[in-house]
Amino acid sequence: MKSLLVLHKKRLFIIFAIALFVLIALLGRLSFVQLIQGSWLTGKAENLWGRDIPFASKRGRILDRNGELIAYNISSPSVMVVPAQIKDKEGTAYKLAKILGVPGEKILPFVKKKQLIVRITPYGRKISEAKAEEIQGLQLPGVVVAEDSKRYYPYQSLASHILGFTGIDNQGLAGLELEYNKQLQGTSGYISFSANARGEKLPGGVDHFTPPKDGLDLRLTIDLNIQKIIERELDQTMAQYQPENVIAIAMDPKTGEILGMSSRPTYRPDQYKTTDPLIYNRNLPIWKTYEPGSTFKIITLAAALQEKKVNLNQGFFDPGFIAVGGARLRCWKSGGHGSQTFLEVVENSCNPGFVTLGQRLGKEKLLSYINQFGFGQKTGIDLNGEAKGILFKPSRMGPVELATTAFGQGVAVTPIQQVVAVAAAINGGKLMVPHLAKQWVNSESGKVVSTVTPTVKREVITPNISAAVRSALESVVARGSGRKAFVDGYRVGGKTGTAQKVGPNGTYLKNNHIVSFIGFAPADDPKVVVYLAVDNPKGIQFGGVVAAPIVGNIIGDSMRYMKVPKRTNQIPPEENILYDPIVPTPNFIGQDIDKIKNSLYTTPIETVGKGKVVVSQIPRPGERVKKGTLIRMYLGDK
Amino acid sequence: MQRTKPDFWLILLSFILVGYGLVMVFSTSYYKGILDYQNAYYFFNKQLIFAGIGLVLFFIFSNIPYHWYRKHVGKFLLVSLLMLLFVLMFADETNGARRWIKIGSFTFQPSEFVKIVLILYTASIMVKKQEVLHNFKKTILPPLTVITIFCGLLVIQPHYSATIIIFTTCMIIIFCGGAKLRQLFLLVSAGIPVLVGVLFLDQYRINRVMALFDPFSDPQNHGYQVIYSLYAIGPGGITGVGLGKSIQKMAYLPEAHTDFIFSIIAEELGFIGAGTLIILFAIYVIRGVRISLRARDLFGTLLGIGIVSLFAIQVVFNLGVVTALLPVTGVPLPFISYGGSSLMFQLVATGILLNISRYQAVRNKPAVKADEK
Repeated sequence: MKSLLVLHKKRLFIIFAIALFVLIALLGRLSFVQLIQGSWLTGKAENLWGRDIPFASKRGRILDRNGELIAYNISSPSVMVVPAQIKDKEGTAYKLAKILGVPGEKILPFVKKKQLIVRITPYGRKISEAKAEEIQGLQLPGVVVAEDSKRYYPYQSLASHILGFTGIDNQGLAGLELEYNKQLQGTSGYISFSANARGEKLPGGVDHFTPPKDGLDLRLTIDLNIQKIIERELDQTMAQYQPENVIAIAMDPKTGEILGMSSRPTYRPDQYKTTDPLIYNRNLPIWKTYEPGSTFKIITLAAALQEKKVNLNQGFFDPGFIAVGGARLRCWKSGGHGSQTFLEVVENSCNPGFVTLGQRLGKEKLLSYINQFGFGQKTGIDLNGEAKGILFKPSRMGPVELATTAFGQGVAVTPIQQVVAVAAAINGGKLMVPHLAKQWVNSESGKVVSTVTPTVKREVITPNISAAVRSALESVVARGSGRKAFVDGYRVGGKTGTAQKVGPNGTYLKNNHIVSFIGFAPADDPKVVVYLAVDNPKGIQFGGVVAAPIVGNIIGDSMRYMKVPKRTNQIPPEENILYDPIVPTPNFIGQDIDKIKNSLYTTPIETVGKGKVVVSQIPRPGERVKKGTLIRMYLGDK
Repeated sequence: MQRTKPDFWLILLSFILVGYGLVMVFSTSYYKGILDYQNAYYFFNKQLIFAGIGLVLFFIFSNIPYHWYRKHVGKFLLVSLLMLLFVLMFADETNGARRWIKIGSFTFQPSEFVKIVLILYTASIMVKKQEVLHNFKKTILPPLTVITIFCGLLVIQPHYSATIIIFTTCMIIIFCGGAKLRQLFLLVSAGIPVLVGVLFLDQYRINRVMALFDPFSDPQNHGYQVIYSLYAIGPGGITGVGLGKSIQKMAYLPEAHTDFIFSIIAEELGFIGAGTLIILFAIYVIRGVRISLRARDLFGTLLGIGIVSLFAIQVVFNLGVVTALLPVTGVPLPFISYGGSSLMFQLVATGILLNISRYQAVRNKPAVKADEK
């Protein structure tokens, strides 16, 4: 009996010890939660209690330089639910789902969410008026159709790469909408207060109201009319030549203001979701990097003039090639241009002539000017996704590289770099920062909040040298290889360019060129500089035939639109426009068709048969025909 | 038998706990009262009535000599068995379970009654089996069968938390009654798989267990009660946000006045208030064990330890749940949580314990020696 009594007491003590131990452990747990995790939990709990009723700010509109709206907001209803007020969650979800056209299971989680106000993203955002009315007609408790706004682009794909687009919450996702998202968006306001679980305000809670600040209106440097001209010309180019892509930029050379800029393929900002991201992510005018070809000769010319390495009246003989470092660099014209002045070298875009200019400048000077003109660095345009281009490293630049660089091969640049560089060469020598934003305007009062002033990066050449470049380039259009861009009375200056594209393995692609033209007008006081590049036009054409007339169209229409008075003192075109001169037909027999596409004749051609080499041609070589007569070439493989 | 003075500390402690509970029930329920019944005092008034009845019962039971129950254990068992069967057959389902008997506007949970009856029964039978402790069949099998039948009826309701509490309490009584450890060990190792099996029978209980391990992983469903409980306890800090100033009770934390009342106590009164409550519970355990040890006979000891165990297990379960140590089960906090049956039976049980304290063994050693002879 004694042992039993002791046993009972012992066991009681064991139970007692365990109970006390567990209670102490609970005390420890309590102190851990309250004293150690306390502040962390408090933070989380305050988030739970805090309620923000948002007041969305209005997104700023985008206008062209004349105040035309090119992006604004239209109201579009959105469905929101207040889960706490919904008793029949399943029923409500399925009724909503039926109208919104999605399975009920997709809507149910929103209705069940433990949150004050739940937006049904994306199914119930920005729905049609009809659907909104249908939902309102149901009179479901806890379902609210609220005013929401949607970005609207009245001109659809016009300037889409510049404008970009916005996402479901009207946040900028691309283009200027992204670049200037902060200013456009403004800041949303809200009333914040502490609430109980039913969303009712707590008596002791802190609450305050922060008013929303609407976004500012953005006025662009873009001119809607010039942009429309560009878009029209690009569409025509696409239809006519079916190229891989086309790029066009129009800029005010004196201020760096972009007047119009576009490219193909393009997209509609309101349909970005169904567009290949490569199309909207690659803003070709500032992103595409390729060999510029002959348009780059303008830089060589400007440098040589500035360094007094050339007198344009000086004579030069082109035998059709130039020997550099043991290599023979050919002129685009087989047989060469023969005896000519340096002005004619520019007009004819004669490669040996420009190699000579490059050699006279030397490696250091030429590279320095290329850098000064902004190549190899971003222009600083106010858009995302700009490329820098690729230049030869000075250490790896031998005589051959120097020579090819002088006429635009072996360097890779972006379209915007060329526009800015050529603008500097013709505007008096100032390298400008290109830009799209012109003014920020308060959308309520219409007051200008801030104005973007043109920024001069640096002065590259002197004004009188710039004038000489202008007149040489005017002469290229009036009398030389840029003839097709001639617009009577507007003193168009410019330069053609054709470059073979480089394939992924670093070698030149066969039969795949980018033909381009950069032009400006008027030559005495340039108002606009226009660049156009056509990537791999279908059909066999001389480069000068494709790009120059399009630029001519853009410049001509823009000049008329801008009401630029016609000049009387233009360089007279080489031939009377009314009567075509009689010229001997060049000899193409035996030439590679690839090379022919590289040359800068302005005559239309037509090919018959398949092959790489011209075996015969009509009219025959040397036959005297009216200039501009179609030349039919018979191809074979020899 | 010679009656002595009842345990003064236990009486004081009971009053303090009832008072503490009433204050906190009012603090935690007035908001819900306003929302649901447009009456801030709705829950408090009901609880006040039950506390009054409970205190009367407390004194009545403290005056019933505890030996009286021994004679009538069989009848009690029969009554509780009938109650459980009645509940299963006639009671309406509330929240998917049949646990309540409704008499007018008054609802009553038979499981509260069953808890005390089974303690009485187990204590009584263990006293009888003192001579045959080595025999498993004779000692443990009979009470185990009875306990299992009752537990089975509770599982059918279903009322798992009561099942576990009753089963554990009875096992403690059997253990303290001197059952052979080897037999108990066998029993426990056979019982654990059954328990785990019952626990995982339903998906909802698995989810509750999973939510326990990482409440923040599933904040919307099973974890959220636990998270909201922590959101109440955490901000309390050392001194709390002040009585009546809890935010979590503002419809965030469900059952703020019943199962999760401790969370709100911790929020309003801080570590000091909540820790004090745990210490009060500990004192109850200490006094209870002391009374049991000093009981004049084995029945008093086992009955006392059964009552203390029942109390302690419920406290541990409740605090474990609200501090995210145990899966969510609806165990009220003794004395504190809103709920008439729970409070009344807690006071009845404490009354019985108080009665045991009136028949203490004579303290001086010679008397003990005499007893041994």
